[in-house]
Amino acid sequence: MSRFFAGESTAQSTGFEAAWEEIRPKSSLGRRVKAKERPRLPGEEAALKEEFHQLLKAVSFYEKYPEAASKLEETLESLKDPFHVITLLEDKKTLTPAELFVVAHLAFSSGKVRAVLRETKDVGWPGEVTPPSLSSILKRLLPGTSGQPTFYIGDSFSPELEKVRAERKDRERKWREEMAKEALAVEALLSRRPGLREEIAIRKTDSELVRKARLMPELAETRETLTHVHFRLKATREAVRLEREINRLRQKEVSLEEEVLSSLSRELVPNLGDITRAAWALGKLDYLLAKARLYRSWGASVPEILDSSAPQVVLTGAFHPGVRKQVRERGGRYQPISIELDSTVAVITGPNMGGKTVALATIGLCVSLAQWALPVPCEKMSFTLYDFIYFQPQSPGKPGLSSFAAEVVSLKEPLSRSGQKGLVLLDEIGRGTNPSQGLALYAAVLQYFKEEKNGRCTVVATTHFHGLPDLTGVSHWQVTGLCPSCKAPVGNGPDADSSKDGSYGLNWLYDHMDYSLQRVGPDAKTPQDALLVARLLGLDKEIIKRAEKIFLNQNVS
Amino acid sequence: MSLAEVVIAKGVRSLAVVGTAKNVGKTVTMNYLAAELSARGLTVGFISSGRDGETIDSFTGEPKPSVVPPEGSWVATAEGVLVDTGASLEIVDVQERPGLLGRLVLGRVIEPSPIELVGPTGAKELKAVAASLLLYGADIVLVDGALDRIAAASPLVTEGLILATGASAHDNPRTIAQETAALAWTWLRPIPPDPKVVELAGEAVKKGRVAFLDRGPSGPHPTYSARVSRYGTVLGMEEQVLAEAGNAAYVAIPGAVTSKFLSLASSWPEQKGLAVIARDAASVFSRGDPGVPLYVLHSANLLAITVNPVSYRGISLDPKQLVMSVHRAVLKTVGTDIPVFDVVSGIRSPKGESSLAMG
Repeated sequence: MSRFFAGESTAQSTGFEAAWEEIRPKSSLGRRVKAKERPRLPGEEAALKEEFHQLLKAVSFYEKYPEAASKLEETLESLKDPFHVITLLEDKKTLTPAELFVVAHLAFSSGKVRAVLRETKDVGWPGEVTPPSLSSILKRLLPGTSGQPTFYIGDSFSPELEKVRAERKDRERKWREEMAKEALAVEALLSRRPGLREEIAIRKTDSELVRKARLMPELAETRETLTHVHFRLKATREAVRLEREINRLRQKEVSLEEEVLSSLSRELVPNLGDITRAAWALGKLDYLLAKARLYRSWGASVPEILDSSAPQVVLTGAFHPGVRKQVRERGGRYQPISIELDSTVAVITGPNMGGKTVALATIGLCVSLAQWALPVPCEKMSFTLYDFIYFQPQSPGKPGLSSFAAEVVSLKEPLSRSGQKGLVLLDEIGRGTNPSQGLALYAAVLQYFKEEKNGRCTVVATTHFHGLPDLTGVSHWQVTGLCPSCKAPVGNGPDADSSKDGSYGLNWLYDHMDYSLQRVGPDAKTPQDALLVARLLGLDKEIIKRAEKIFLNQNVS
Repeated sequence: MSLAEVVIAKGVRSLAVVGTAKNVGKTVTMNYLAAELSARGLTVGFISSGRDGETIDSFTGEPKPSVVPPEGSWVATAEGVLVDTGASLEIVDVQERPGLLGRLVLGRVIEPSPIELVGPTGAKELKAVAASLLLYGADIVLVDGALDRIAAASPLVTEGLILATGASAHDNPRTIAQETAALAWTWLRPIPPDPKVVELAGEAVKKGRVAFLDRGPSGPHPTYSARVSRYGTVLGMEEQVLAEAGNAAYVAIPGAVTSKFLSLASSWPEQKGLAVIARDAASVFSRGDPGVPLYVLHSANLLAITVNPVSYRGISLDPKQLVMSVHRAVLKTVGTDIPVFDVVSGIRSPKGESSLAMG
């Protein structure tokens, strides 16, 4: 993952990590498949197209067969991870009953899954998610089972075991009869029957009874309390003989049970290939269905993959699922964005709170999800595969480094890989130093990426620096921002002053901001809305007035 | 009424059997109860909260009695301890989450044989496993617990509780009786009488925050408001929490209620009459009446107490005397008639009947 996501925090800042967590396979087999996933890189376009084709099939399965889908999910949820057992079988080890149960359960689940896939075959299930039939294993391990799988070393596995068990049970019965005879004898003489643990307690005051009990060959005195004498039934010679025989038979039984386990394990070895294939097929099916569920819950799409060698990303109606969730939770409206990145470098300008960072994260998220063969959160997307994605977050936050220093250190990685095909997302480089040098540095970085010899990256850069697009001669996108006809609340009435925490102004901003992106000319003016936003967020009126005065004087001079 | 009949009469579907010390006859109680319940046509399920220590008695070197689940009963235990006894179980599930001794195996007993029970320690997992056994067909699930593995006894896990005590805890029947009565006092803590208090305390405990409940202006129907503190626990913060109590009528505590907190609360000069609300008795780490009103959000259902008059040290107390003194002490301390049994001799406290031979 690290080579594809350049920069330490790219996967997290774009929202990829959060989206990745939303892919939730039902079984540990599905989670194994998920853990082995990796991004598809340039040259793997055909494979990726096929994966999206499969994803759409799984989506159609959910839409067309909701009942079968929940049945399938239930089966996947109950899957047991057989890989430990597979390793034991590879090492020719004998499985325990619990391990044989796991194999039987896998065979049973494969059968159930195969039945569902057969019933819904018009979906066009890919071969790799269909487990091979393990019915012969099922028949061997669970003879005569039709319902839920269970495993027990039953008599049917070995006629000899059946015989020994029957003999042992017979001796046990005889032993119980023998002991019962003794208990009856005790009862006849003492008028009470031994209780739990074949014990009997006699009150000391009943000295005659204690004397009688002490004389009985059937009883052994075990302990004496202040008030009682306790006796226990003694085994008769016959009972002792039976006990010995029971022990001998029990040992024989254990060794026969071990033989059954060993022979069943040996018989499974030639089926190892099918067992392993079934495990992976079920895992792949589980993972594919998990992706389809995310597709449906987001209202996502699959991208068109362009074979062109020149980097390109076109997004229509793209949204950031994490941000959309937050907006919806506060009852706001979420506005998706559309953008065409058809040249090597593009600059996005816009007012504060205009969603420039979210736009960058959305672009990064859509491309990274697409390369991991996952649903993309947009109406439509076409793109070319990249070797890496880099997202320069606004606060790289490294201990011991200022924000500007951390930014410079972090930038080294995408610059060193500029010969590769990369998607480089830069968020207001140079804002942490003096504006003129910050602008110069930012322009130089963009020019470096734009130069022909380094021109394999798609770079998207946000900025408040006026003149950056002009300096670098790159395409310029702007957040539509606050509509000129919308009057920001001032003076009387419900204005920003009425809420000291700025929540009124914040909500006003949310409601009146047009977050869409428009392509503008390189010399289009950078919005100057900082003071308006500060006022809306409830900053002291006096400070705003002074700031406006200073700003006006600066511009006049 | 025998112990099994007490349990059946209460209609509980899960029951913790908690030993107050080692060798107090917990396993004997479990086996006796299982045999009695089976004889009455009930299918029993068995799980353990964690692992019940060693299989060989460390004092005597003798094998400790094992649980012997009757034929047809349901068992959940760790894969790792099934090596010898696995053959007598029909395995119906192997749960994915591995524990200390491997995955948890659920099975039906084909033939009774001694089995070591090893189960999850967390309340949530225990409850889920108990629910699984009930789903497979157990009528009642017995959960093996101990005071150091107390999750089993939480009313959030089991519907009923049996305390097992005996001569191994102490040599003196009076000390055993007093200690058992103190434990019973804790396990019989009631829910606060005012539903509003229960609601506010419940919210705070759910949030995982210590909260003070202040009583509003006095009137025929008192009102309460919650002051949620920044503390997630009182452990190590006893003084700070009490210093912030102000005039609160109650303090609701989400985690452990330490004996230090209860003892400080009973003698805190600025705060008189503060009542403490714990999540349940399993979170109270103090025995007996601490001198402050103590309530719980989930009350336990203490069904019975069993006593073992024989200890590993060779002490053999008089069963009847032990049963009677424990019963009297509990009745005196908590004012509730909790039946007390010695399942080996069959002696029980008054109102009951003996099911085994006794002179």
